[in-house]
Amino acid sequence: MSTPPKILNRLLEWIIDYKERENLTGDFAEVYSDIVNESGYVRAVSWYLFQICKLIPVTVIESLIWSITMFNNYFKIAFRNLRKQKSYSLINISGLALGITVTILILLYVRAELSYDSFNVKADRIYRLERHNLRPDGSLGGSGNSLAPSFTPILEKEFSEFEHIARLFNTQTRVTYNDKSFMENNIFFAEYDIFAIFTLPMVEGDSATALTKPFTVVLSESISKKYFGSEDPMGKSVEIFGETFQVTGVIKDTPVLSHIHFDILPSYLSLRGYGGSYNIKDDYFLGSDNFSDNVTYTYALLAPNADPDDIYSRIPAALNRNVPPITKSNGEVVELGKVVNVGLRNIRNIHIRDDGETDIEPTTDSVYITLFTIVAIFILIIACVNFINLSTARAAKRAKEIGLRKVVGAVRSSLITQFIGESIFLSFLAVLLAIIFTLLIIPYFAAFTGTELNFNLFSDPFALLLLLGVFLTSGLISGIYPALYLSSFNSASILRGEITKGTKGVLFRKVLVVFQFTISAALIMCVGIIFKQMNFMRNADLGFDKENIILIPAEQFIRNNWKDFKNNLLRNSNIISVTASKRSPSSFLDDNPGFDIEINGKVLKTPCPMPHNRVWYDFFKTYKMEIIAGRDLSEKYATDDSLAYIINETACKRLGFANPNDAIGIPIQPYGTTKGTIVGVVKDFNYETLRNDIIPIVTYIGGFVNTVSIRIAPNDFQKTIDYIREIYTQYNPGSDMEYTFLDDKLDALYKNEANMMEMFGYFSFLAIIIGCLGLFGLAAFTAEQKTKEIGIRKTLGASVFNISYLLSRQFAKWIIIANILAIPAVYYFMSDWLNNFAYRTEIGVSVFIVSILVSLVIAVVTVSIQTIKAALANPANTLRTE
Amino acid sequence: MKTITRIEEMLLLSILNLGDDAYLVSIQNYLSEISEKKVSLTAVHLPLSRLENMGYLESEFGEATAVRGGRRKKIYSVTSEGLEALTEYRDLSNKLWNDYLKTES
Repeated sequence: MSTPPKILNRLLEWIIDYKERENLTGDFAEVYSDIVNESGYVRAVSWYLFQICKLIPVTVIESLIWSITMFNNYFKIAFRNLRKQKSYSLINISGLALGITVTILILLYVRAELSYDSFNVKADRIYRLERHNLRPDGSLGGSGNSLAPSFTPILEKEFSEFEHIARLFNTQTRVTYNDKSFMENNIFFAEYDIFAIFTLPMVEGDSATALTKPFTVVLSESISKKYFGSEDPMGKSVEIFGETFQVTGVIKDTPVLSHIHFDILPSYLSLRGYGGSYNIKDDYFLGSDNFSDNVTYTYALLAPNADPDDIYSRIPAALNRNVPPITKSNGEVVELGKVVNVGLRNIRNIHIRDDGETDIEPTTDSVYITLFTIVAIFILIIACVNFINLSTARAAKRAKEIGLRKVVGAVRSSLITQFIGESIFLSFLAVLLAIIFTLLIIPYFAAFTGTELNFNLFSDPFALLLLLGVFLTSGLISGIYPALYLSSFNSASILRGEITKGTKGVLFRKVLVVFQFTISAALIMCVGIIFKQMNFMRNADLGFDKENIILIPAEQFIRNNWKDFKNNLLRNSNIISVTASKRSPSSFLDDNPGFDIEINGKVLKTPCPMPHNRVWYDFFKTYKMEIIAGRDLSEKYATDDSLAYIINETACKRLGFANPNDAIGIPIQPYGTTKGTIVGVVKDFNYETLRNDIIPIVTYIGGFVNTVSIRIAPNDFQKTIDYIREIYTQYNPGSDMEYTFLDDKLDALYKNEANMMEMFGYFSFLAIIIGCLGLFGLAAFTAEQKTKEIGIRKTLGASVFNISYLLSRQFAKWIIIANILAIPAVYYFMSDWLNNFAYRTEIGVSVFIVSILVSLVIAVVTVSIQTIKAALANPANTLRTE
Repeated sequence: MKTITRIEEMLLLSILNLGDDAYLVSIQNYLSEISEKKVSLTAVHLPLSRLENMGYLESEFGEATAVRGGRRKKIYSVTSEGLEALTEYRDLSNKLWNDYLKTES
């Protein structure tokens, strides 16, 4: 006698309907044993298997029919519940929908930020070559975004790994075509390799030859439209820098999500013969012995298998092979590779960075990306917690249904399926609602963030996956607890009415509410601290007076007629002071060639990095910067235009002068100038953003200037500006003057930060709203539970206030606990964030106190709507219910 | 008038003939023997459940044997309605046959 294999037997038992399970499996076993006796084991097993296969379709169809029947019932009940408890359902679904919407928006934004520059097909091989300054011990002493053009020929010659290198020289100037003339910012003189590196599809022209000749230019589509309208731009000429450039190509506009936007690309070769500031041996732009003026952005395409770290380690030796060491006047021999290296930064790491530095265009600090992702997850958690909370609170109302289902034979697993299914159904409704919300909000959100956001459900696997993920996680997470909790009720005790109080979930609900408000409170605190820091930076003492200063570009016709122009302006009594400078405060000091200084008869070679600032007279006067030792640069001294230097306080300290007066009269020679003396020390001022420490700066008269700064009287702005414009047009009839206020420009430095903060503020606000929705629902539930208690208390003489207090008290307690829990985490995280800033505010106790008060007020207002309603109810009505 | 099919007639008769030991496998074996061809389990089981639903058969659990892995048999017996249906079927058949034989002769 033989029995069928156990595993097959199990399978059969599982397939066969339970009513006939015993006798049928028995029958099969009997036949099986007969077949074994007759034709052997193999035949029997195959027969048995065949029987199983024959049964499967029947089983599947049967179970489908039953599940559809049950599903129908579940669906009906779910729908009835929705309708019966309208306000609960509304809070539940809209809370979750709001949470999902915000999560989607944030994650879309984060994705957009992370996808910067990925439109470049070869993005993973595109690197920007950046200057790295080395300390004497070889460690990295500082870095810049740009590089001196002279490095490129050496790198091209020495490294076969660089498939293409393109230098870009950025400038802001006026571009003219016939009667159309505009100031343009995104002009990049570019080597033709640029088309091999970046993905810039040509609309017209040939990318292989477009930029190979001097005085040719490639325009972007929108720029071409701006100047030429519907005309064909090819072969036409535009005027840049007083030279004529022939249009040889039109490219598609650079995508929004790019760290650099190419509007106008004149050929790099056009720069041949244009000089920088000092002894140019060969050619300033094409390659000379000048390795210190970092005037070009340099992009390289690496060979597919090249290792950037390996290249980086080999660059110093390559530099030394090509550049003869400099013997300084004190006999010291300096090799270039000892002081400079060329860093390789992948193009994808330019827009998002962890050092918070500004680049060609505003960047995003990676801290914000982390912060936003965390906020998105938190908001989703809060929304889910809400959902769980309200569902468990609702349990009491469903208890009878569960009891009845159990009595008529529902097993626990089918109850769990029902409740998880129900919450998935609700989360599906929420997702649908969220999609509608998102589609409505996205245009505004995109405009607000200034990026391009794509939300196309059908062509975008990310969006679809995101929604599906959010839908399933929120559905499952928020379904699991109620499902397990509700199904665990004992049917007998439910039907006897023991569970209707719903007391079993109280502790759990408390924990959830506290958890939720911990997150909300943490967000409020973060917003508070960020706001405080932004305010601190905006109102910080910059070392100069930023108000009432107008900046205009120092165009050629102004530079050539400077004295005349200045005197004409000063004739107006509302114009207090006029100056010009290479860089105005708020821009970066890139020129850092080094200097010689003679202290106690000993010549020191660049003992500390000290950028140059070239200005014309009245610079310090115009900016109201205080000279704390010596004197200001002045036209009264004949040699001040070439032999006088002013350093700042920090430079003074770095050079070892305890008293600023000690620095006066010290001989100094910034490279590229003549040897002179320090005539004054200026009080420290913030040239760059407050993220950075003040650096040593040397200031002197002369050289090329970019910007005219005009200090005006605080009254009659418009009149004064009109006057300046009038003077301006006298020198260049027909042109339009573009001007900015310095304080606006400074604010723009923090615009990114301000934007982020605003966004963070809104998100936190939403998180709190969602949290409040949950609180509102819970308060309603509590009030309902205590209907009778309230009625009795009222008949015994309790006032409305007494009852409101009774109901609100516990919520207030939870919120204070939540706030206390949030403090350590916030303190830790935000101290870290503040460390990014050289100038930072203290976190302080006030932020925490304000947060506790704010969340208390919000919560009490939310809860009191319900409690007052409950307290006002007529006890006769509430007590009559039985 | 209660109509049954031929296979149902065969099954009802087999159950009557098998007496106390009429369960799925024995019915299948008996039919296979008598008709001298292999009858499958499904071909027996489906009409059996149909007959049971129609009330012509009733069932009870019988003894368990080792060869069945300790599972009980489901023993079928014919109800009075089943018997009635069977008789009606036979009468109808007879009438039809008689008419045919008359016209033949």
